[in-house]
Amino acid sequence: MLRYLRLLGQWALDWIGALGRASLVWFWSLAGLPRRGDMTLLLKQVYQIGVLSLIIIILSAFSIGGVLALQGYTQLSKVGAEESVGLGVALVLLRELGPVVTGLLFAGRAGSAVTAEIGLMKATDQLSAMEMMGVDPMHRIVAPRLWAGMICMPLLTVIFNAVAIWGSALVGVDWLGVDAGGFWGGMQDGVERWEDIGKGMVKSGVFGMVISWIAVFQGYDSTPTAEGISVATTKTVVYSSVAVLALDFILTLVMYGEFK
Amino acid sequence: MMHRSKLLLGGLTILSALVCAASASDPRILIRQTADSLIEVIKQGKTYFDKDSERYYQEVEKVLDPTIDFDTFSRGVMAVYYKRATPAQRERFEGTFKTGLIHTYAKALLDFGDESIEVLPADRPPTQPDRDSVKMEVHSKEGKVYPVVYSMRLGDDGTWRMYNIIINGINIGLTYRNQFASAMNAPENHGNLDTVINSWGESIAHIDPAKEGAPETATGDE
Amino acid sequence: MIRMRTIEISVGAFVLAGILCLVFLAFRVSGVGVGDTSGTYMLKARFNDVAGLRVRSKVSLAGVTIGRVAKIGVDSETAEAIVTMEVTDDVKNLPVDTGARIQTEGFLGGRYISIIPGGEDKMLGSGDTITNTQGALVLENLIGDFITKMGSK
Repeated sequence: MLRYLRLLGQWALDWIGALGRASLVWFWSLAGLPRRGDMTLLLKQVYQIGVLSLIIIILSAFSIGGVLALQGYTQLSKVGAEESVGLGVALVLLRELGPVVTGLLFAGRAGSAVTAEIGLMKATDQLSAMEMMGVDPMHRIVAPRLWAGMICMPLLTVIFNAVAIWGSALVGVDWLGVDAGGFWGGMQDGVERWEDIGKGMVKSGVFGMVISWIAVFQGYDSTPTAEGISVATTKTVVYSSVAVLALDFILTLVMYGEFK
Repeated sequence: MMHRSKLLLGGLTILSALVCAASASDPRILIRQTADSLIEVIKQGKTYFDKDSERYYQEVEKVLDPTIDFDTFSRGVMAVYYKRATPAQRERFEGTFKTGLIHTYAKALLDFGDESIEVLPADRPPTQPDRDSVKMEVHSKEGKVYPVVYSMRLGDDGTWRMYNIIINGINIGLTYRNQFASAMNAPENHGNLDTVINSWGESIAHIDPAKEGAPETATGDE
Repeated sequence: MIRMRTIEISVGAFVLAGILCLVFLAFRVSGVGVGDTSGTYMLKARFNDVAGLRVRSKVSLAGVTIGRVAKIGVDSETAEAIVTMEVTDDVKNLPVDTGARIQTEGFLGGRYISIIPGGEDKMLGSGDTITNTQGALVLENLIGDFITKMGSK
C-alpha cells in the first residue's frame, strides 16, 4: 500500500519537475538578444517545419472540405436547405476543424520530427559538444524550432481553411450542383471576420505555441538512447494531440459560450 | 327671462367647450368616448344591418371621422409612393382607403358582444409634444385579452387623432404599407399608381355584406 | 544538403501562400461587411416582442442587407424591447414614419429586421428611434388565437 503511495508521489514529483524544466525552455529561448545568423537558423526551421508540411496539409484539407460538403449536402437536402452547405462547411472549418486538424497533423508530422531531431542530438552528444564549445544549444537548436513552430501553425491553418473551403466548393457547386450564388452568398452573409476567422486564428496560435513547446521539450528532455528518442517522439504526438483537443474545448467555451 | 336663458346657454356652451378642450388635450379621453359611442352604434347596428347595411357604415363613419386622421394614415400606407403621386391621386387613395377601412372594421365589429374595453393610463410621458400612443385592452367573454394600441397625433386644430392601429401585436398600417408596395411591384400592375389605387377599392367592393364574417386578420407576407 | 537559396525562396512562397489564403478568407469567404466601404450610423427601434432576434442579426431593406443589430435592450416601464441598429451611411434618407418589422428568413431561418421606408417629409437622423414597428409574430400565439376564435363560434 505504502509502496503505491510512494510511486504516486514519485510520479507527481517527476511531473512537476518536468513542468519546471519545460518552463525553463521558454525562458532560455527568449533570453539573449538575436544574433547574426539567427535568421538563417529560423528560416531553415520554418522550411523544415512549415514548407515540408504543406503537402499533407493541402491533401488533408482538400479531402476534408470535400467530405464536409458531401455529408452536409446529404443532410441539408432533406429539409431543402442545400444552399446553406457553404455556410455550414465554412463555419465548421474556420471555428473548429481548421485549427484542430491542422494542429493534429502538425503535431504528428512536424512535432515528432522536431522531437526526434533534438533527441538524436542529445543522444549523440551533439548538445553537450556544443556547450563545451561555448555555443548555447538553447539558442541555436531549441529557440529557432520553437519560434518556427509558432509561426508555421497559423500559416498552415490559414492555408488549410482556404484549401478546404475551395475543395468543398468544388464538390458542392461543381459536382453536386448547389447554386454558386447561394453557396458563396450564404457563406459571406453568415461568416464574420472576427467571430469566425479571427477566433479560429487565435486557436491556431495557441495550438502552435503548445505543440512547439511540447515537441521541443520532449526532445531536449529525452533519455539519450535510441529507445529514449522513440519514447519522446511518441509522447510528443500523444501529449500534443490531447492538449490540442482539450484546449479546443476550453477555448471554444471561453470564446463562444453564451452563459445565462 | 331672456337674461337667464342667455346665461344658461352661455354657461352650457362654455361647459361643453371645456369638455371638448379636455378631450382634445388628452387622447385617452377621446379614445374612451369614441369606444363608448362605437359600442352604442354597434348595438343599434346589429338590429338593422341585414336590411340597411349602408346606414350602419355611415353611422360608424360619423363616429370615426373626427377620430381618425385618414390623411396621415393613408400617407403612411402609400409610403415612398406618396411623393410620386399627384395631389389628385393622393386624395383618391385617401378616399378609397377610408371607405375600405371603415367597411372592413365595421363589419368585424358587428361580432362585438359582451366584451369590455379598458383604456390604460399612460405608462410614461410622451417623448414628443404632438405624438402619443394609447393602449387599450379588449376583454373577451372567454377571458382572453386583446391589446390594441393607437398611434395618436396632435393636429394643427388642437385635436388628437389616430393615424395607426396595432391590433394584437399586428401593425395594421405597416401591413397595409407592405400590401401597397407589393401591389406596386406586381407585374400585372406595371407600377401604375392609378391601377393600384383602383384595385384597392375593388377588393373592398366585392365584400359580401350578407356573409357572416370572422374578424379579418390583417394579411401580411410572413 | 538543401541550398540556402532554395530554402529562402520556398519559405517566402509559403508565407505568400498564407497571406493569399488569408485574403481569400477575409473577402471571398466572409464578404465585405456593412460599413466596410462607407461609414455607419445608429438607429433605434422599439418593439413589443423581439423573440429570436439576436445581436448581429441582419437589418435589410428590400432584401438587401443594410446593417446589423448592435444591441438589444429593454424598457421595463413600457415593456418594450429597444433594438440599436448599425446602418450603413449609404442608406440615409429614411422618413420618420419608416417601419421596422421582425421577420423570419425562410423556413428554418433566423430572425432579421426588415426596414420599410415611409412617406413623411422629415427624415430620421443618427440616433433617432423608429416607433412604427411590428414585433416578432410567434407562430404558437397566432395558432392559439385562431383556435380560440374557431372554438367560440
